[in-house]
Amino acid sequence: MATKKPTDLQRIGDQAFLKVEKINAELFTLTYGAIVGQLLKDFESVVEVNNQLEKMGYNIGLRIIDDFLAKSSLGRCSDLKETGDVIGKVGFKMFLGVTASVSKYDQKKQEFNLLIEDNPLTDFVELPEEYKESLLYCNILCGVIRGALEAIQMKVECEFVKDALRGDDATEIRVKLIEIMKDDIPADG
Amino acid sequence: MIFNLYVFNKKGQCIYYREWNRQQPAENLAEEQQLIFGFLSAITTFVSKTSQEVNDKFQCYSTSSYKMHYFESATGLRFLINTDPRTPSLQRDLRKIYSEYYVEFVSKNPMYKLGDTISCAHFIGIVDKFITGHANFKSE
Repeated sequence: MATKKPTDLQRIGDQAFLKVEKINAELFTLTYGAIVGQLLKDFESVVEVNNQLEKMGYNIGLRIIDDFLAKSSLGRCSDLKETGDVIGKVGFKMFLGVTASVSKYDQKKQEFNLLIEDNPLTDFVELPEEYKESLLYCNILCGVIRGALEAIQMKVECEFVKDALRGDDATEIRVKLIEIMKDDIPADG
Repeated sequence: MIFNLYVFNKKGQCIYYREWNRQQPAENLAEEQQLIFGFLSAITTFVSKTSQEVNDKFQCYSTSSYKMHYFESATGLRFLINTDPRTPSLQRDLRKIYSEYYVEFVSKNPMYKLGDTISCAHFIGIVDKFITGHANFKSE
């Protein structure tokens, strides 16, 4: 199966974007901000908030992958770079309205970085001083990527390597492939 | 004529079963579902090993008395419909059940826990309407 070029994927992403229901961007940003704010009130440590955001994202990812596959009609990716391009150009476009690009693809280490220039979750957001070093505001995105890929048998680890809210020039997530899960044949009951 | 529909999750459990025109009711439904899942695992592995194309998928088999149509999503969900042998391919219909009904009414339903038996009234109703209104539902 030929690898899809990023330009093809951009077109698929735009077409899929037309099929999805849309909501007001500011409403989305404010709702997400309210969720993070509430989590900070509910949990004592910021580390715990980061974990909760990742967990929430994981549960979203497990379901969002079916929606993604249904609306994009894409098949299996031929390599990890294509997976990254599909997530960035089609997935992000469909669900966030913006695209992300693959930077620093390392075939030997089986990892890639997703560079997000325009992040709707962080529009107008400023982190207070006490959270600037510790809070991973968009950690839900790492969870979503991990959950979605696990549902299609890819075990990955996701973490932020750059965060615009913490002073970097852009937001970048590193996705590392741990293993391709083999199907477990269920034992006879 | 469309006989029945099965939906299996990736663990092998039948999460949805509905019959419309079944001639002989199953003696033991649970055992039958296990048998079907075992068969599907074996044949999908067989097809992927023997096919020349990389992503070739098992689609259907037919006997003199019935035809089984099959669709599997990348997430391990398996959709299966049994019909009479003359019914043409229902691949697109199975895909529609997945992408328009399962995704919208089951996957996006916050009350539904992934992997559980489907009891979402909306899904059951709309699949019923779709199948009973299908061109091939009744044999001529």
